[in-house]
Amino acid sequence: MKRYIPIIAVLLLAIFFVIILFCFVRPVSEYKELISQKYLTDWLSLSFMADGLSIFMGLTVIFAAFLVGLYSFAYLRDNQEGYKFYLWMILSAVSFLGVIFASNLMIIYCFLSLMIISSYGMLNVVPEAQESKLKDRSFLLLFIGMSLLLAGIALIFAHSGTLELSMLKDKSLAPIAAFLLLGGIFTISAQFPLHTWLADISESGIPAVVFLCSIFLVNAGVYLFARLFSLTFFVSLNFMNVVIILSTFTIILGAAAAFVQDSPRKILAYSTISQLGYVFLVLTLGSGLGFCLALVYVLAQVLARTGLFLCIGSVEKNSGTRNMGELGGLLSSMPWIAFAFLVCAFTAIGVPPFLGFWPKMLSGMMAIKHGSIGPEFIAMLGAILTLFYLMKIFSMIFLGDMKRLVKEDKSSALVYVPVIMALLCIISGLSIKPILDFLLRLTL
Amino acid sequence: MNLFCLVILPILAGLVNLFLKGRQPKSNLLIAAFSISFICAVVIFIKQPQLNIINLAEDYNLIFGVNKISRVILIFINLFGLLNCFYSKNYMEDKRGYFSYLAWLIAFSNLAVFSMDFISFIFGWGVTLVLLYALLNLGTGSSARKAFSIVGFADFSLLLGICLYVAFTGYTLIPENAGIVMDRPIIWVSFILMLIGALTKAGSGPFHTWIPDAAADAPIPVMAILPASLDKLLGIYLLARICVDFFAFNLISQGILLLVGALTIIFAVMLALIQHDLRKLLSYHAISQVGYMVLGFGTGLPIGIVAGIFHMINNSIYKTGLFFIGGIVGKEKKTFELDSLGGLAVFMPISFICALVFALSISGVPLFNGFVSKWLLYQGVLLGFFASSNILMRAIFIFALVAAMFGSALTLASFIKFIHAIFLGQDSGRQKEKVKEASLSMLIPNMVLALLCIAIGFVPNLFLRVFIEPWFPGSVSLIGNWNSVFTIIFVAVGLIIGLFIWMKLNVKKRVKQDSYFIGGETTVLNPEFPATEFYKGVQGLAIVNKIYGFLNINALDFYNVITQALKFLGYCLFFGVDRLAYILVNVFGYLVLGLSWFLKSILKVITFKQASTK
Repeated sequence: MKRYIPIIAVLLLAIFFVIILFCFVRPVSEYKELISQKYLTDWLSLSFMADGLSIFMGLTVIFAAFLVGLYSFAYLRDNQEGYKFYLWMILSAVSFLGVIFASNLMIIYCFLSLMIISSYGMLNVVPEAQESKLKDRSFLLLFIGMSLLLAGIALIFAHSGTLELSMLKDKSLAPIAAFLLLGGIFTISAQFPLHTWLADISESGIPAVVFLCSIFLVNAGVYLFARLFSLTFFVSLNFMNVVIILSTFTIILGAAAAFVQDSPRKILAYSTISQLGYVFLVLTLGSGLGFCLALVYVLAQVLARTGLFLCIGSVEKNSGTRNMGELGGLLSSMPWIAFAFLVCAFTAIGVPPFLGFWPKMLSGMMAIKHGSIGPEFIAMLGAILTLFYLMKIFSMIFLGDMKRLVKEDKSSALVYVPVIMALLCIISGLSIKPILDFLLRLTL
Repeated sequence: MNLFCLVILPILAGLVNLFLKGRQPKSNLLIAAFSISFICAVVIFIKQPQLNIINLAEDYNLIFGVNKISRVILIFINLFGLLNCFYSKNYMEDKRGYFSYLAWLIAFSNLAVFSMDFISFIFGWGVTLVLLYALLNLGTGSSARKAFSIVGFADFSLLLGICLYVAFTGYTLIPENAGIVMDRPIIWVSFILMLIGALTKAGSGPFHTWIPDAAADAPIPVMAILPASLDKLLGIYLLARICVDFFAFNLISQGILLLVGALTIIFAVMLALIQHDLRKLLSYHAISQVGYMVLGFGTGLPIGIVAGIFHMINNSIYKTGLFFIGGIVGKEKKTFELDSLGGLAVFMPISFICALVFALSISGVPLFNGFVSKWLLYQGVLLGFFASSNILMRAIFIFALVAAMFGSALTLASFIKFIHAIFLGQDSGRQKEKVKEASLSMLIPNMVLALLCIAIGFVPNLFLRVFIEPWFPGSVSLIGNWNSVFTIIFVAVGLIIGLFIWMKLNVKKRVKQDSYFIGGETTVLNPEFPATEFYKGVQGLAIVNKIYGFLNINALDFYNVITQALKFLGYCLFFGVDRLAYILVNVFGYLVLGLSWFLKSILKVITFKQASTK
């Protein structure tokens, strides 16, 4: 039984992906929203809803999770405890799907809690070394965030008497409730000042696991922000300004902190924090093209980040060390991994012709037109910092003198999954017009 | 259709190249592709194609087309691509996709030049950054990272500058003669940011420091295509558009350009003078020549701008040629050290003649192309001096003129050393029998470039009228008694007479070499005087020495400055904010733990009491 669990788990993810792709995309692009409602009590209803935003998030994240599952076949081959990871992963994926398709705030909250718990389980399942075991206090912050979210939801219920998203549409939100919700969302998405958990968990567990945790949680936060503040509630300008300030500061803080780190995992964790800041900054641009650009940004950072984390994972697995200072000059012995890392790094930096360039360029133009000049300056400074720290990792691992020989096995998933990510970065970057058309049709 | 031929054809050729084995088929395919794209560029030059418009999303359109200056740049981009491909056919070892990168580089440079909106422009421009990194990584050493960091920094500042410009002027197309007046600070910021992008691409100071580093470890054809030609073409093209089309000039922006240009000329040429490595010497000259172009734009007059563009084209012709010659020499002698070269003129006559032509051109000797553009430039600076009424501006103009003259003299000195050290004097390596002339595929590009140098030098007016003047109708006239036809006749007569004398009198036999005789004593005399020693004397002067000491300070390197600044920012934010938040969270965590311990013990006490009361 244990032997089949990984295969079943990955198959399940593939089935989720196929179902969303073939059963939801066409109806949603015609009718904009699919809703199924079933009331239990006045505050709790088993109602679900699919629209462009949820379908897009589902496709992106489930696809990345599917590839990470494939990758973990190779990574966890010799690990006896490996099957537990797949169980937690399925729980995480299902709760992520629950978050994005539910349309009742209480249900969303429950799925979110479930996701945090399964992330906790996932991180504790495969400790590689004893000292890297997860510290509980890293997760304390997440539970603080969840209580803020719950308080916000309670205020909304007290104010309007319903938790149904479709009935809350275009209602104005009390500032205190809005900030409580924002606190919860920023914790889950690791934004300043509640961001420290992401860097904390980065040293524990295997890279694939760390990455999966961060991708589920962080994107759930992005989804919630887009769902609540872009599509549902009407919020004041001051609130949006606060979001702009906080996310801009997160960009520079994450990038600057990444610049002074030494371990690639920490650098990538802070880099995630910084990139999420960009997503929130673009989300404040409002509806239409700005909203689509935020989604493109999410796609770009998911692709790039998967590739980067998995490349680091492959190097760690093949060399058997987590200290990258012992390595160097692997370009000639691991050319494919180096290629994948470089392309994903370029995507994260935002250099053409890769996908990361388009949202950075177009959102820059739009943001300045909206009047946020200062944040755009800091965003570009963040991009330059990104360039410096990602090139630092690349030079450290792949350039210079070869200190020891580390080989890659071309047929292994350790190599082809990152390469698939890199190729997707290139292809999607060159076909930006179809992607934007698709998203505009889906969300408008 | 023609336009996309320029992009799609090289891209496809590059893709196919990835799957080919061996140097010959790869380069042959590429030569075919570049030949077609070169012909396309010529056709585009003659017959202006229609605009192509692609709607990206909402009101963001991608527009492709050419104007009177970009069509010239297109021709030269494809010409240099073709020549480089010819040259590297027998030069580059077949490793890690040099030919594919070259093909894509040409493709995306074409895209950047013929795009008429900012989005596709910055797209093509940015891809050349990625390819720069890929090409420099073909060499050894860490120069690629430095180059990528500096140019990447500049690209992002250009991106930001364009975003600001677009947002404040409303143009999403690259405008023609928009002439935005720099009256608001934000427009100034936009101008400065774009200027950083253009100057860094062109390799002007103070953003030049990656070029000498890259020269020391990248393969020669990479240097010949990037810093020597393509980067100049793209960077100066953008600078021209900034100066002519985007903004209206004012005194301050002129002053900035003049000073940057003048300082770049002097400092780079002084550093070039003391180099012992052939490639570094050439790369410092590549930087110094940019100074002239920037100076031309700084005059703010049509004639100066024309001179800048003209000099850019001339410079990329002879500088590519010089790098090619350097590559030939290095390949034959297996060294780039000037001290261990010498006496190659006998063995490589064709390379020697080509090198001589290039050296004379870059030094600005009359009859070669470098002279004409410098002549125009001086004319522009003088006109600018007379036109300006501000005393400070006049001083800057004088300074720029002196710098340009001084730089020109030092360039000549430096290239006398170059020619002498490589081709004349005595071979200090003493491996004469091994050295032979390079293969024909490496010589042909050199001969083409040398012919171009001479041709442009002979008929500069024709060249100007066909290529550059249409952008500024009726603006250019060469002052002075410059009648090229007479000069050609004089020179031709001189050459024929010289040839006649040489053949009749057989000069070669009359040169005698005697052995040393010093009072009957036998001493060991080393008759070698490496040409690099000539300028030891210059270095010895106190004031010059101070300048050299100043120039060699590492802290002035732009890369180090920006790295240190970012590191400082990083430590401040990491320890000041991130760790602070971390500590606060932990304190809170311990408080919660303490609270729960407290509650637990209270609970214990209560249950204990209840138990005891029962």
